[in-house]
Amino acid sequence: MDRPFLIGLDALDQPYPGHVIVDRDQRILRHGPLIARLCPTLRIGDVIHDHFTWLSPPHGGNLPQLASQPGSVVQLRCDSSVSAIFTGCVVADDDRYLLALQVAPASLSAVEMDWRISDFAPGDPQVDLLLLVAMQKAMLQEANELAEKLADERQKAEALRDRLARLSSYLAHDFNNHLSILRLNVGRIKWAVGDNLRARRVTQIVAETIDRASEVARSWIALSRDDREPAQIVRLDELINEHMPYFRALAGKRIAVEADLAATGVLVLVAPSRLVNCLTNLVINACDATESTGTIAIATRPGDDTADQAGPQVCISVQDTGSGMTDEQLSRAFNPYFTTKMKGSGIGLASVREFALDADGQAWLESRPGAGTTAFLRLPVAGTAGTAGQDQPDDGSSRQVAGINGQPTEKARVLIVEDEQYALEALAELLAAEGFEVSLAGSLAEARANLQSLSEAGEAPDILLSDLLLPDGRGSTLAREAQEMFPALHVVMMSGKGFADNCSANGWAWIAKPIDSRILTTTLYEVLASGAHPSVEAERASPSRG
Amino acid sequence: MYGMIHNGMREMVIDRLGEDEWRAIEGMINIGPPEMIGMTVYDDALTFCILETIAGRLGQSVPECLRGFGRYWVSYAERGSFRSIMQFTGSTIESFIGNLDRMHRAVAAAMPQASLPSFRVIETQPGRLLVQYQSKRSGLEPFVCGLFEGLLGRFELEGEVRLYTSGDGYAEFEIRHRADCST
Repeated sequence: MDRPFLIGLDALDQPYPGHVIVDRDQRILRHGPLIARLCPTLRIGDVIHDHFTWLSPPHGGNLPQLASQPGSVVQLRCDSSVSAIFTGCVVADDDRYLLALQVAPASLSAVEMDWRISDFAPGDPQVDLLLLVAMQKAMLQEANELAEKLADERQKAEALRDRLARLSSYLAHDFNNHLSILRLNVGRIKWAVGDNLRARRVTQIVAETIDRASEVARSWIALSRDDREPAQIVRLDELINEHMPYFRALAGKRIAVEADLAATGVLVLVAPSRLVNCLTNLVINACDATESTGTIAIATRPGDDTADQAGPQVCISVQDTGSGMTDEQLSRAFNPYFTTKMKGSGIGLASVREFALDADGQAWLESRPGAGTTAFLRLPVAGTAGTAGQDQPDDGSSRQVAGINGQPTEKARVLIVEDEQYALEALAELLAAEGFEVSLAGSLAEARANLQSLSEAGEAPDILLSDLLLPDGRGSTLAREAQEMFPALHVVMMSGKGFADNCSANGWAWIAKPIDSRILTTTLYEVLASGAHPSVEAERASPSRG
Repeated sequence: MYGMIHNGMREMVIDRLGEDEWRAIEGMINIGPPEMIGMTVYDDALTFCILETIAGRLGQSVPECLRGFGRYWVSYAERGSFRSIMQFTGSTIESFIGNLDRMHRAVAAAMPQASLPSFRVIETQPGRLLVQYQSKRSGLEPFVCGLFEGLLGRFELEGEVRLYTSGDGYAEFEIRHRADCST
């Protein structure tokens, strides 16, 4: 039985799918299935040089001589498939020469380039290596997809929790406002009834009922803030830098994520996970807007004061090279449930703005169709590394008002800002009775006008006692503006939400609604006694009974 | 089993019954994204719990559901990030099954805790293959039947698969197929 090359021609295909048999003139007599696949134009009778370039020895050398030298290695490159290098030896059988070749893909990405395991010899260790590389790539892709899904789920969960928190917070706020009116006015009745025991008993019953109702409101507050991470002072650039690998994983390999962080040492007062969640939303949006390849640039820049934000600011931007937005899309982008994506929830940007407002900052977009989008977040600077928590210098403009036991020796001036008329009246009466000189405002605008009048008259209030949420703005905005005008001003915030973001970090005291008259007056005496500059931290989360 | 199997089950339910039905299943057996991490190996008991629940929702027996999932699995793997690996593994049903162990070796290298089966083509005749299957797990024979049926479809072949013989951790499957349906 004829068994050329010892194993027979038919048996060559499996161990050497890339084999070629040529005659003395290097005309092709036969080839393996891999050659047929990689060189579709190759025909029996063609000269091997027509389809292959000899790499070693150059120009093909002398086949009889190569066959006679055991250990001689030949190397060829297939001209129609440059990604393949063939390596092997030459075996002679009469006037026929077998080029027993094994293929070596030029790239470790061969699995993605239409190669098959059957293109390799059985047991070729390259196959395991290529499979392992492909497996790792697939796993990485899975991990990226999973990261995106988890971020999406987290975003939805966060949005749901925020809605629930907002609802319970609003309920508690309104309820506490009403309780506050009741409690303050019960206090007025108590004074009015004097020694009438029956009337005093009735007011006592009402006061205790208010306390119990206040407990109910506190349980709503707990629902609104249970797992909410508190705001804390963080180094902005460091926080972003730490999460860059996560943002890059989110974007995947088709989109580069670059950091250009220039707010060195800038501190901001935020809940870190909320800021990261915010940036996650912006990065996901940027990825979705980028159809093929592109770049996302995350940058920070220290900024100056703005017209509507007192104090230094820092700006974070997330810029993409994607499709951009039309004016119509831009105008609705922050609306809850507005989305341009097939599977979008429309809550990502809404939660970004919510976060910015909670942090007394701003969020906005700049975009043009075809020119990408940049999302901006502006946040108040809480300090710079190394100076955080240091007291503001005293400008000496404050009047000495604290005397024995912290009680005013001369009338301390309090500006009360409260939008509930009945509460405002009761507070005014209470503080006037305690010896304070009070001026009143029912809104942010009225308070601003009041402060302006005082400033023009060369007078300064000692304490700003303000509701945290006013119909036309936030008490915190008013407090910053007021302290800009009167650096020695003390600030006491009143909050029906059961907590008051940013108070401690700003050196403001706060008291929880419903207002307890004793806690209120004690707090005011304490802030006055604490010195001539606003460094008081007199938080009272749960009013005691008095 | 590894989480990719769970992901495949989820996709099958969503394809057949819709997303709400999958949410209901998640609620019934208290699972969620943490049980769906593709490259994490989970306790087999969890996988079977998911499967039994799906079978109940589909109104099928567990073996029927397993077989259906085997068929679905081939198309699911083909769609995802493992597409190129599937193509690399073989261009005919015979070469594909013959190379499954090599593919599984790469899976095992990436996930050493995964317990993977072994497949060997022990007889080849025109239109007929006899495949030996070995596994440390028992009860997955219907799944393997479904897998081979899925592969018949992938290589555009019409045919049938039957369990030829089985023992402890061992089984042989006969795959019979007619000519390429695409021609």
